[in-house]
Amino acid sequence: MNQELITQTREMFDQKANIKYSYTAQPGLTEEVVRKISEDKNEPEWMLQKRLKALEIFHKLPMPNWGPDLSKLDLNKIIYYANPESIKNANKWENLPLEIRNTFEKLGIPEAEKTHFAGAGAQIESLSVYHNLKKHWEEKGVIFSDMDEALQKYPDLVKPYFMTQCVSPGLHKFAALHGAVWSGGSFLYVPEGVKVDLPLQAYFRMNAEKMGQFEHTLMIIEKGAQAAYIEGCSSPIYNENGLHAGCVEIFVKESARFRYSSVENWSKNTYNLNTKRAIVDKNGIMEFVGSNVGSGVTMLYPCSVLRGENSRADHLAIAFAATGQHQDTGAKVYHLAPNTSSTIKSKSISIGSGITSYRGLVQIAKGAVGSKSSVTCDALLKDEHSKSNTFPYMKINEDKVDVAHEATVGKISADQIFYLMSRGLTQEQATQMIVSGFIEPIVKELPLEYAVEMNRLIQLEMAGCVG
Amino acid sequence: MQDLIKTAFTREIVEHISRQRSEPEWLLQKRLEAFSYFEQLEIPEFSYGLGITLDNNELDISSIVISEPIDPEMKNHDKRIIVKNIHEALKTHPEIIRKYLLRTKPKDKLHALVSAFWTEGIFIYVPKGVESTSPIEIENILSKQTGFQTILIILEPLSKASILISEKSSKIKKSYLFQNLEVFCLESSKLEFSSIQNFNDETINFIYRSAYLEKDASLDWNICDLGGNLTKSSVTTNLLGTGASVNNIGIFLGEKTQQFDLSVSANHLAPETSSEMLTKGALNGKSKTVYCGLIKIVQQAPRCSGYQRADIMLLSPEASASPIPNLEIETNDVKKCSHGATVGQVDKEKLFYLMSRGLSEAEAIKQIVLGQLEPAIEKIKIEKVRKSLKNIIEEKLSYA
Repeated sequence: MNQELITQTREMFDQKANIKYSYTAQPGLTEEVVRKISEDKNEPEWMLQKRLKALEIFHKLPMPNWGPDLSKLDLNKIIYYANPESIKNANKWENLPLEIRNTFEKLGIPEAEKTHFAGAGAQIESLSVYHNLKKHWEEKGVIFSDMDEALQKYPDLVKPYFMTQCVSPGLHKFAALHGAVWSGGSFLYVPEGVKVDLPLQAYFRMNAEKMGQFEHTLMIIEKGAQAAYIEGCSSPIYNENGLHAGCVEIFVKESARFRYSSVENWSKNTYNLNTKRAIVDKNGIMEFVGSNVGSGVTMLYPCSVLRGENSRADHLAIAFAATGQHQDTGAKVYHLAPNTSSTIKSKSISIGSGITSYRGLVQIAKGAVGSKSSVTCDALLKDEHSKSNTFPYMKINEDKVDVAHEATVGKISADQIFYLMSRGLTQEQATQMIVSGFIEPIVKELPLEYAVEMNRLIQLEMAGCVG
Repeated sequence: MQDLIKTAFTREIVEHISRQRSEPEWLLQKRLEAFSYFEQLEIPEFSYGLGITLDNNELDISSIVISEPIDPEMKNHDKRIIVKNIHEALKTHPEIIRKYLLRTKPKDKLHALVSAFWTEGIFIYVPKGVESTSPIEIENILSKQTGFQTILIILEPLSKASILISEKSSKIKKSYLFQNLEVFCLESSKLEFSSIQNFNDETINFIYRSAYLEKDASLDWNICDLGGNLTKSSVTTNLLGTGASVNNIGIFLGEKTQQFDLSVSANHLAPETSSEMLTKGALNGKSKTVYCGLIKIVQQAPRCSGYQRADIMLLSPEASASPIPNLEIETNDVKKCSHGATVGQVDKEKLFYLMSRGLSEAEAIKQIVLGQLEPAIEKIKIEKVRKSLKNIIEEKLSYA
């Protein structure tokens, strides 16, 4: 089909750009690195203290003893901080160095902004290089900027929300690591009643070898406001393992609605150990749409904490694992208030010897009467060596509730392939078509460019692997 | 037999138990092997990850003593089948027992405990080609402080049998039962195994069941956990031969502060094997259930099918349920594999309807709960088991 286009895409993501770095820290995590980050960014004292506290927690917490194998991840080899040489946070595309511009142009960032999005941001390594928000929204008080800038400009807005009640550094080892060395990321503030009807977008890219990316995304959607945000992630291929330990904190206030979408396509030797959490107040609606295509190992379980009455969370996720990949993804929903509801839909595809695991938790706390939750997860196994696991946990402490979980595991049926081939498709095309059909219900929730990218990525991963 | 041995669980005690029963050397070695696991393994923590736990305050290993055997009542009407005390059977069938007994590797410290310190055993042997129609009945009345039992069931090729074990309490209030049960279904044999556990509400019981199924063998487990304070009821089926199939029915009913740790797993180790698991239960009062199900299909086992379903009904705001139905699939060539779990409440409309027909609320709820358990009860093939189960359930629900 689009064989040529497909080849181009893979190269596009895997190629590194010759970007110059103004500063690169030594590999390994020391207090010195943490202080250097904070000093460089001219951060207020409380943030430095927060980082140091997180570092202390990081050293105390054990590595997770469940899930995928993390033994090849050497935390002492990771570079925790590097800055590309550029004008910090340019808000005109033309002001960026040519190399960076080229990289992002290849990935389609400026076009996307021109045509479809309300605002766009881009980050290479630790530093955000580009952030822009259409004037119209700025006038209404919407703030969309990079996280470092937000900390400088709006400390009072950031401080009460930053790694406090949503994701605390004590949550797990990588949340603590993130708290110590976080850098860059997106900050979004939508004031009361404002409805941003076009999606905002950000793109994160790891470019250097052995790099760690630790962007912090904080989104506050005030009472009655609405917004959608989408982010894409990628990195080139290197010999040494990279680490992505980002953190996303979302606050959906009363009657607000927010959709967070992400397409993560880190290179195959990246450890993607990510934390995403939303706190949803009364009548609020939170939607997570996520797809994990890249990375060697992914551990990502977006979480919604439904603390307000009548609040709702919808989780949609696709995971795709080819040979050498282990996608350990899922969703967590805590129902803490009455009449809350949640749906989780997860689809996973394993090809070659890829492993996909769904790991999820639905918890209904005492007093959350009238809560409802429905979980469905479907897995498609393409080859003989493919593996799929399902580990759904449910913890129900209240009787007036309805919770249901369903899962199926299947293979691509020979009948379907035969039918499509009898219509003139090659076996490869037929398989791709069946896979596209399988993930369709989730892909259709993504904006057009991302849906196209998603489909292309999957075709690209599948190309040449039909046996 | 000697009475109570009030010593800690040591190697000497294992040797003492074995010597006292004039066991052959190989059996002592098997006990000692289990004892080495006992020393290594940890006491189950009743913690299942993600904050899901059961309360094990009532469980105090140091207070457990080894009492005299319970001496279960055994009823068998088919003379071709051998049902007897294992120590007697050692005289008549030493080779068979040696081949199969204690083949299962202990899962945790308490499983190792019973594997090493069991004081009495039951041996059920169905010879080749024997098809029995009347069920073998075993009644365990827990009249001592503790029971340490091992049960060995062997079905030779082409045989067919059904077994019912009833677990009850006598007047003794707080007591313990530890049981290690192993089932071997050889080629093309068929077994329906039922267990109705209805201990009093202070009894702590740990029952570990393992089955090994060879080519075309089939096994039905009907496991009903109704009584007990803390119950750990585990069923593991290893599908070793092509075409073997297992059908698990699980029924539980909890009230007051009863706690259930139920685990059901099927390991598909050969092609074209199938497993089905249906668990239905209802919880009242402050009772709590953790259900862990696992269907595992290895790469060398193509064309298998697995189905798992757990439906739990909560009747009180203080009851809680945590179903964890897991799947681990390592091959793409699966016939079908799916699972489902639900946790729900008494349907208001059904309740209203029944009450509008003149039933009291309690009576209406009882009928709804029976309706919830019915699909599982109906799958039990032996009428006698169905009847006695229904009676116990109805009686239990009338008190609630």
